[in-house]
Amino acid sequence: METLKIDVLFLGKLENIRKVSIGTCDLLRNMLPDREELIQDIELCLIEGLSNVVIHAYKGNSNKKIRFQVFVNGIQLAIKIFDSGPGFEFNINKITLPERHKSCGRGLFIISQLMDRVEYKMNRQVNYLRMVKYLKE
Amino acid sequence: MQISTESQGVYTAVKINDTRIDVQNASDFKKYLLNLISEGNTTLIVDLKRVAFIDSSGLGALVYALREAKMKNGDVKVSNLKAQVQSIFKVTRLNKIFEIVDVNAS
Repeated sequence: METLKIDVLFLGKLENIRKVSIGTCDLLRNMLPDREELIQDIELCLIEGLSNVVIHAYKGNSNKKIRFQVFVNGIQLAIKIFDSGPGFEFNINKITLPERHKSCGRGLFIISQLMDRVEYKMNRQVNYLRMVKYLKE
Repeated sequence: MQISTESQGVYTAVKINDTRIDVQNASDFKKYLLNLISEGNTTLIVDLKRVAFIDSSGLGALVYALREAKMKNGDVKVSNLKAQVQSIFKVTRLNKIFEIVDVNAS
């Protein structure tokens, strides 16, 4: 199988997230034409990851840029979302659903359920969320 | 966001005419539902027949509206969920707090 690498840099505005997510997933559809269900999950996780950066890391500061990369080969599809916010403590085993009637806090839980591997690394200047989905059916 | 409403006896049918509820329009969606509730339409059935994609912000808008409606002795139900939407309700276990009805609204 061929490999595909997508590298996107955009201004961290909420209204840009839908556009870049749909565009990315259209490219993935060309490469994985029979995996619509998987691509819908990827689109959801990409939107959740990017929304977290805009809302939580950048707190609405739309002058900040977001970069993400998608890498696909015959084995896996990996997404890396970079941010230059303050970062947060991440433990995949501690991600739970919020209380039933809370209206926020489900994004990371959705990612943890739909992806096969999720990690978040905090560095001094650039943090990243890495999400991996294995492609074997 | 394109939404239409119709009073149907004790409840108000809310028909979403967009195919997506996500971070781009969830805020408008939430305001729309809360406005309906504040005007006394406390029992809503939100028809998601056309919605093929919903993210956590769209779910959050529904949860917020449900909480507001319940505080006024009302309810928010959802109907006609497509497979992807139904799947995310299950993943987030919101199928346990929302009544999901299949009314086949046109």
